[in-house]
Amino acid sequence: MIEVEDLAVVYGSGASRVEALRGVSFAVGQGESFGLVGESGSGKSTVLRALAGLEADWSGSLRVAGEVQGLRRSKASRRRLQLVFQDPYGSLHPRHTVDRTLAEPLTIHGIGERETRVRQALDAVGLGPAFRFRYPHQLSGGQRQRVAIARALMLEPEILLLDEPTSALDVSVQAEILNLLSRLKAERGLTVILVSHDLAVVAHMCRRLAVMNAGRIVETLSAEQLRAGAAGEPYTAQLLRASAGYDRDAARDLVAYD
Amino acid sequence: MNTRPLLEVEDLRVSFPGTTGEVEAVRGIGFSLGREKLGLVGESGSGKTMTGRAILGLVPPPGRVTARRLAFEGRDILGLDAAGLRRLRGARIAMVLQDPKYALNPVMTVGRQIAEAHRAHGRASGREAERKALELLSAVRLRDPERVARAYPHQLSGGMGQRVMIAMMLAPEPALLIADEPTSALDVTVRTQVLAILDELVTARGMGLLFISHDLNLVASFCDRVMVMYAGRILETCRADALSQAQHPYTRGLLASLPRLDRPAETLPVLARDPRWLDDARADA
Repeated sequence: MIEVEDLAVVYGSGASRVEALRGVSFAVGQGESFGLVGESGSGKSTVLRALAGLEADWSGSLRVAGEVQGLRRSKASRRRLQLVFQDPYGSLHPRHTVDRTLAEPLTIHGIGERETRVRQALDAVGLGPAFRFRYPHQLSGGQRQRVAIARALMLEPEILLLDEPTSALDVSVQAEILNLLSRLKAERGLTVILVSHDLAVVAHMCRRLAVMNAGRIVETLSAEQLRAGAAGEPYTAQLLRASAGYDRDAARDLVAYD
Repeated sequence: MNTRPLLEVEDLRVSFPGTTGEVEAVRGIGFSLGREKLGLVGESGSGKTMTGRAILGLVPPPGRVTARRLAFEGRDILGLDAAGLRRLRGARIAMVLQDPKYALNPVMTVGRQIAEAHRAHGRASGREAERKALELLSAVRLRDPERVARAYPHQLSGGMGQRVMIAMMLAPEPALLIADEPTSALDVTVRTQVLAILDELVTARGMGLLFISHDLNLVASFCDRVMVMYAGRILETCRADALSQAQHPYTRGLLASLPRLDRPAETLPVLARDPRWLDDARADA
């Protein structure tokens, strides 16, 4: 469904030149959930942005559903692939009602049955019709993220790109949103790429994942391997150890990888 | 050795006037803190941040703080006037916040800020304060302290900024450090480094640490004791390494809702909140 080959993204030039991605390749099958983990600056969000067509310039090859993706995207390919961001407060227009937020993609793509589709979308993410005419500030963090997910579903995409979808939420709310995403994924056969710094969240949601560092994929492993602590690379092993919590000895042994 | 707790809190309340009467953010909590790492965990809105702020007299108006007892090293804090509070704050009790961006002066080099913090609470000369600043920067394990001292805050990464802030707070060698989500914005490996610094200050220097966090696993692995806060009250207190055997259904529910690497699950248990928890409060910690 998604094939990424030798993807490279460079920001700036001269002294301020930053290689955000340095040759990233991976493939995700239809209906599969794939995780991207790594620390900040590793390039995991940049991969999503390039896939979504939000990066102005990149090199390499991107194919989605067999279709080669250029710098500009067709309406059809935009419709096929939708993004959910970390911070629903920042990604929802503060002065648009939930109704308007959800209906906007329909207007852009010239799709009718606005009323029915908005109701169905709210229902699908577990928000009642009472939420339709509320503004983002009248919603809790979890409810806002549900609205963001509903918006992503409005165009009935085949692919959902999730960028840290629960890291701004309390753990009890995180569980609700992860359950919602699992259900939607199963019901609609969605192909999912999940970016997260939380290894447990990725292992919960994805069968396979890639560990990224400094713009490269360090290694790709299965959720089972991750759970078993079977890291092939020292970088992954260190990430696993640091993620497990505080450990005085681990602190002493830390190594910098570039 | 002085065995009196550093901090004693009894029936602490923080309230704000609302449109329909007073809203209590902290509803009568009590605990004492010695030379230890004491964790305070809870979800957003549980009152954990207000608790930390109340101790430092930093609750913004029109918030109101009352307590039967709020004492630091045996001395009442609530009765202090502004000057008395200033002498205490920074010098004896310091606070580290989640985001260094808001705590550092953007137009002053890091070295000068730390030196200033040092001089504000001591009688050091300019040169001495500068030397001390470098010493503190290497104490928080910044690789090139001289370069960092010359840098402005925007030139530092998140992890470096957080370490700089800790260095600044430690300049006057406080007896008590209140750290509010000090590592939430950091990568796990940097988090480990920052925690190691705090750990050493408590074990080697005998500092007291109130560690405020939403991260149960982290607190369980880092702290000595943990208090679980919910809706302005402390529901339970336990040894950090025994958090997984916590008794209260809220704590148990929170722990269960976390995805875990060692426990695959199809769906995650969702916390069902019991209204009775609002009135639950354990005996003082």
